[in-house]
Amino acid sequence: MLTLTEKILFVSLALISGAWSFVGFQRMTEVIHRGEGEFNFGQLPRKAFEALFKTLSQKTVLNARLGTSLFHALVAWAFLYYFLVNAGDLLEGFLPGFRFLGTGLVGGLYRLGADLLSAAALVGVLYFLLRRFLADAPALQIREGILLHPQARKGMRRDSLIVILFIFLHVGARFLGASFRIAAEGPDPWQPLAGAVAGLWAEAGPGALAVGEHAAFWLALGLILAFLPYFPYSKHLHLMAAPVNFLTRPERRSLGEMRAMELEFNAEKFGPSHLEELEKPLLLDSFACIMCSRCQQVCPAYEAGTILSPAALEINKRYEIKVQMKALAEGEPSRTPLTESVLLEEAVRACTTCAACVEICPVGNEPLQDILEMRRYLTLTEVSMPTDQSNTLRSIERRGNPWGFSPADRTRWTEDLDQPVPVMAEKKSADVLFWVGCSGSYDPRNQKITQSITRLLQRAGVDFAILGQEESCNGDPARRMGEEFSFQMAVEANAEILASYEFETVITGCPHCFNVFKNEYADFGVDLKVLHHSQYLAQLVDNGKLKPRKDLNQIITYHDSCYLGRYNEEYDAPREILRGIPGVEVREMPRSRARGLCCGGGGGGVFYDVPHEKDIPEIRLEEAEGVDPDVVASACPFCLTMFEGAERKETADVLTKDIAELLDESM
Amino acid sequence: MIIAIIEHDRGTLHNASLEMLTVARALAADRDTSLAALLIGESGREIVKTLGAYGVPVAYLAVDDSLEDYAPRAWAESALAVMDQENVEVVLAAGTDRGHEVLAHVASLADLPLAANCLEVKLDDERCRVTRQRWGGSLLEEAELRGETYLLSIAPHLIPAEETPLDGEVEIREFQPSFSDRAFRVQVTGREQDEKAGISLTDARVVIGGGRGVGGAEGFTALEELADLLDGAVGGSRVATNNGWRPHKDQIGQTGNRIAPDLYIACGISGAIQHMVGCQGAKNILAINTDPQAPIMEKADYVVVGDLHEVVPAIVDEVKQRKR
Repeated sequence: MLTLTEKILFVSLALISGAWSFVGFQRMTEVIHRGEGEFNFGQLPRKAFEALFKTLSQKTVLNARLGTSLFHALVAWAFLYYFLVNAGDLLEGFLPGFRFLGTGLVGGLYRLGADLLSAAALVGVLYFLLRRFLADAPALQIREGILLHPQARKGMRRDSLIVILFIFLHVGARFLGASFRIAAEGPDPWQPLAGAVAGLWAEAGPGALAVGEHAAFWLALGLILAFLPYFPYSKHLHLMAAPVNFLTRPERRSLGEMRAMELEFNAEKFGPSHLEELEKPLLLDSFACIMCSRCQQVCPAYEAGTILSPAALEINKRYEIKVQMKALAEGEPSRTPLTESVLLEEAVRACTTCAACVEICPVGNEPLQDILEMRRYLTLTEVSMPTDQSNTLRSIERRGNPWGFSPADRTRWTEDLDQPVPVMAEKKSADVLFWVGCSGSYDPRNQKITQSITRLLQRAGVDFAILGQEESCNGDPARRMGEEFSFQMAVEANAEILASYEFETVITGCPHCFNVFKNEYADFGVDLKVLHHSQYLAQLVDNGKLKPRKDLNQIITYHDSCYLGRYNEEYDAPREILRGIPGVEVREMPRSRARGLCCGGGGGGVFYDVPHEKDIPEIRLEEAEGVDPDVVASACPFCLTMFEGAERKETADVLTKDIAELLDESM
Repeated sequence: MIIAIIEHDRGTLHNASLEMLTVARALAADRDTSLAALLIGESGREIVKTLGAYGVPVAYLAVDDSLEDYAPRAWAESALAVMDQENVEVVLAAGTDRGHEVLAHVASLADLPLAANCLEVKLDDERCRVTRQRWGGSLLEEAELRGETYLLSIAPHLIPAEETPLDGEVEIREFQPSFSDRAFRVQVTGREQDEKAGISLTDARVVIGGGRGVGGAEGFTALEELADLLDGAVGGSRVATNNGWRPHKDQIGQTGNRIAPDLYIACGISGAIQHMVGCQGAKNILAINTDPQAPIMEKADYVVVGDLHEVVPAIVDEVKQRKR
């Protein structure tokens, strides 16, 4: 179809575009490779299949904002199909008389696909144009007062407009080209939509149609050449970076598992202070980010009005890279520290580590990891943290619990019980080691939960023991606040104690203890079979060792703890326990299971306050109030502490209890 | 000679300096050398007596009109003036911001080795071995210094200040240092009062705390009245501050102030762990609460089961009666 001059011109332009793009893409990869650590190329076949599946199925996009996501799927599927279409069009343009995939059934189906998907893409992209520029969708806004790169707000709009126009013109031109061809060569039953449009050109002469066809080719394929060098600087790159992201993610045992740090004694610096010190996958994240702000929408800290937005974090990373991409690629240090250009210190400390941002991200980004890594730098290198946090850390180190209570008081809760509680130091071995945890040991409210769990274990005849005064903090809050030293010291101390007794299973009264034992102690050679108390109690009910009898006659809604739910995907055991209690009606809150809203207490949040507008536990209790329950049940001491400490302006009546307490009541 | 730079603000001594003196005395005894304090500014004269109670026989007193307030480089130059005159083995300061700043200036001006936040110091003719805090106290480092004079800051809050009174009077050696033109590049230019005068929560001997049971900002009036009568301070639980009944700076608890009064009167406070952490230093707790099951009732030494809106005014009346 193309003339010789056109062919020469196209090839020349393609070479120029290719060379130009190459520079951009090379810089991009060089910037990413500045990062620390390595990509995870393990289990490539499985992950390749996963990446392909996620991309084709649009599963990770469709699982939120369904309407918008459907329009996205239309564009995405069309775009994927267009890899084929563009290749076909190129061949047809260069080889006279060539028909891509022939004129038979296969070719027909191919053309039908192109016809329908072109229309789908146009509809989809029109939706996005209206959504961003006419409706100015609130979901895409980032609140004032949150650090955002000075170029980002305008830059995102311009970038979106360029991408939308590109898709619109690229697909629109190709569609028109098809209609010109039908007008020139006669009807094609496989292209009903382009055929209908072709009716408009029925009067046009063959010369005019040929000109149209050529113009359409140049618009459709020429635009790709024009757009390609812009790609590494556009958020539209997500369509390539996201699958690569899926392919090379670190394997994590939980959504928020933290990397074990090598704590070299003589190191002068721990954790990243600058962009180029982030882990490679975290730098890739910024290229994969499409700036949809879904993470921000589910972030409890953002909802509470703190200055944290995980979306702004990724966006800032991207714009910081963008404005100094050449320098960074050439090995220059980045201009400003992360805490000045990407996420302010107060925002770093506002995260509750609930991992909702990681769960929701359609392209597999992990803003949580950036935050945790930055905390390591601030805590270990700068020793910069709120006083409440340093008090907590000091208490963990010196007294083995976050509040600084006396280790001798750890077993006070056993004193009110009818039966004595066996201690490992005397018993030496037991089937079950009940790891009470600091909250359950010291907090007067949570002591009641510990007593309930103990009574239930005794009633079920379980052979168990506690560590008693030998128990001390497992280090999770320290680790989440960035104090890896304390954490690893705690691991070492606890590993020794745990190794000195015989037991089969550890059950914990706290999801944070549960998570760290199950997923993070293994990096230090401590392998434990761990169950959270909800899981163990559900088993005891299931095998008939515990028979809830008493009718509680209550409506109960269950609040998922992040570290039990999202981190460890245990959503059912606590609900099964509740459903097993006579007279209990379980109602679900709008946000539950994987989408459950955090209580605000994770990641050390229970130990310090950050400036906010509305308390996170208050937000959650108000949501619970919406389903009109008698009791909000939880399975985590921190959740309970947060709820009981909430303002309770509107939610004064609702009771907050642990599932173990409720089960105990029904005995 | 061992020189101990004493930190004070217009004659108000910083307690960390007394802790540092415990190390200074031990070092002087160990090395069989003399110990002298360095006080900067005329107002330092006010604390000479206190130094005597902590076993300091000699105090150098740098006097100059410009030394009324702290100025890091001028303090360092004053120390150097003494070091020029005497054979000084060690210069010590408290491990505070100011202590570190002054020693850093001395180290840089005289090119001497400096170790910050030391816990233990061992000195012989060859070298100085120290154990010092790093990473905000989570790590202890063994370090070794070599030089003519060692500059050491002593980590605060870890070594007790011990009184060891002198037999005689402290000998004051007054001198007027000559300053370089850079000595006052950094200096105090103004002072602002932080809060309105009053007894601070952390220092008060009696603290009245209010929680959810108080019910609102106006409910605190009675608590204020009681605090006034007892020369105490008023604070609130997280619920009270979060609801805006009390300013956030008045919060008692894990987040907020940690109090250590002789008597803490907790009114309408349930005793959530966050709160109990803040008042575990109280010598006596009197809890007033309608709920006998509230966790605070277990922790309290004295308990009134009743409505604080009746109980507190009753206490106020009673105190007034007795005061009459």
